[in-house]
Amino acid sequence: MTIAEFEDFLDATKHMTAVQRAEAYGIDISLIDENLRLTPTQKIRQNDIALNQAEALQAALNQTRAKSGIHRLPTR
Amino acid sequence: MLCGGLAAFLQGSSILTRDVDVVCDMGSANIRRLFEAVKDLHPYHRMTPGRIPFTLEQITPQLFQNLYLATDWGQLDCLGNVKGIGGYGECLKWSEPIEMAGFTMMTLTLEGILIAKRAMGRPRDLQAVFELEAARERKINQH
Repeated sequence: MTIAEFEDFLDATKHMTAVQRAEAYGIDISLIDENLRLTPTQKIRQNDIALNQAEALQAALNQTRAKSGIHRLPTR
Repeated sequence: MLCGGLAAFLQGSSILTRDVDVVCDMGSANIRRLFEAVKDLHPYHRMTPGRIPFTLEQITPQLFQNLYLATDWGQLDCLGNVKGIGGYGECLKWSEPIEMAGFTMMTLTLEGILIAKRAMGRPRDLQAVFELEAARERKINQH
């Protein structure tokens, strides 16, 4: 999105509520609602779990690609 | 005090984050305390070539404005300033305590993070702004 497009977006959404504007921007409000239901400790755990799952998937993809000779993705 | 993506996540953003950003007093006495807290996690300066270890000998008055560390537990960025707000003292005015796993720590408030994210103004920050504004609206409507 260019600066001009972003300014157009702000102008077009200026009468919307914050939730409506976030949705118009492409944000999944259900993720925010879910987040707001959690305690701080639960939020940190959820963040860790999601990152660990993403890393496990990345590692699995790299292993699969290595077996088939396709290039590896960088890992942390 | 938490101040970056993790603080935004705690306040309602859905954006996951890998590093921990804190704003702190960058005076040598406090950096020594920080060193004591992380020294067993093999901290090194992640922004410098050669993975230079973070050592006690490096701590001299006003040496660091920011510290970008990598540790066994992940990345820890210690900032002397938060854009849009200021140093640790100013950030305290935009902070709140948070209870987590038996500890109490300070984090920027939702309003504080909004100020900082708006000031940074990168596309990812603007997404966080929209999310946090929506989270604030949800919170208000719940009460």
